[in-house]
Amino acid sequence: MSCDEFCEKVQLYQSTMYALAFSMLRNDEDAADAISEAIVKAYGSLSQLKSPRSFRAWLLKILRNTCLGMLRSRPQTLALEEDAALPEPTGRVDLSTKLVLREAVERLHQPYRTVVFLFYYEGLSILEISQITGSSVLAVRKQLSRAREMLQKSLKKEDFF
Amino acid sequence: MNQLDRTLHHMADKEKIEMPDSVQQRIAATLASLPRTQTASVKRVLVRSRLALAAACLAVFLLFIMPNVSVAYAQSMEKIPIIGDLIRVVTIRNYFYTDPTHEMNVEVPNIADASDNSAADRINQDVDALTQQLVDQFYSEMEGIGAQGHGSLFTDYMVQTNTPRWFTLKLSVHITAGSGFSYFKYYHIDRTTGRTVKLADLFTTPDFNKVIVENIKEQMRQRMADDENVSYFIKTAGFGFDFANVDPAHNFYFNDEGDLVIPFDKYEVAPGSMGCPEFTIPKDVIAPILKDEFQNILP
Repeated sequence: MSCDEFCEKVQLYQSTMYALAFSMLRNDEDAADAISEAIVKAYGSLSQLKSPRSFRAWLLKILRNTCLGMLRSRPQTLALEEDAALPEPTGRVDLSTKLVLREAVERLHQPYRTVVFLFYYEGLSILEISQITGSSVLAVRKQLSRAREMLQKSLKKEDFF
Repeated sequence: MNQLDRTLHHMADKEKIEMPDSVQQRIAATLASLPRTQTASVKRVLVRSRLALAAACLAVFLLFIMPNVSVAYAQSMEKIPIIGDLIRVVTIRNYFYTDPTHEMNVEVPNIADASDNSAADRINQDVDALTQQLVDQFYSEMEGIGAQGHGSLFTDYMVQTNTPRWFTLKLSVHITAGSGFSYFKYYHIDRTTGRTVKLADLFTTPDFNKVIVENIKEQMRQRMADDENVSYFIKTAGFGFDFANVDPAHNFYFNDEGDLVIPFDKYEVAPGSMGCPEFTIPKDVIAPILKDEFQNILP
């Protein structure tokens, strides 16, 4: 794959990269850092890409691992899978519309938050999500199912349902 | 798919995630900094027209296709010098924050294609560490004083010199928290040796600073004599002490004529109203103590 082809593909998936990075890191600056680092790592590891068709999942897996690395190096120790008392996401406030679902999703703990972003907002399949997160397909299905229950409870409180 | 699932899909479609311009620009800058080099066997096959086409496509993409190109991104594009024998510098990161009482815009430069432990790599690490420290300090102070005080942090950079012989990167830092404060950091690479260079490295004697300081004081007295509004911290009838010495790692750069320039930070040698003074040291003053290899840095 040439550099130009690589750049084109990255541009194609950049919004998904942002959704994944933001769901894990919770602020734009860190998300931008992680995405940049993942792009450079992916470019340097192009020879390890088995098939161009799996580029998206491969790129997002590198990004997820980069985000995990950043989370591990943060001063506060948060369990990566069940993080309690999360800080409010910083950097962006939507003043024009009430993002009902988005607010409910951002209150979810991991890994549910990332799985919801990738499945509902970015339209990835369960198989792709399992390749990115390293969880089995069955585990991702269960995480989605659990996430739906939590979102339903949360949205009922908002009188949405 | 059940009703809840359909509802969640529908809601997510309506609440599309918008990627901020800052993140988009950062991605574009990172992609632009990726090395285009290929393996030797592929290089022999490449023809000039294909390279030119790829470069043109990338240029068109970056300049015209990218939506909402900000002034900051356009300025960072201008800082990318001509490729070839010259060093490329890109904005690899941009920290941005604004609220009614605080503002931050930090551009972090990165020397492209820096190999591990090279001079360029060490400069990149130093710049990273400094800008991160500044950003952390900004957030920390903001959390401490909140809306009760104002504060801002701006950093910018420029490629001061970029020739096959010499490279200088200038990092500017401007902080306000009540009053304003500015300082600079200059980074140099001697391209013949591939090493970073400090001021003391240019000279044959450790007493170089005495020669430079005496010349600077002479210039200060002359400027003060020429203009009563000019004021420097030198011992005169009305002022009791001289400014601090020029140390071995003091900031410097070579101007377009190849002359050595010694810049000072705000408040370092003069009142704040004097800004950040600079002094050009004449070639004939330092030629006797300048190492041979630095006698003619710039053509």
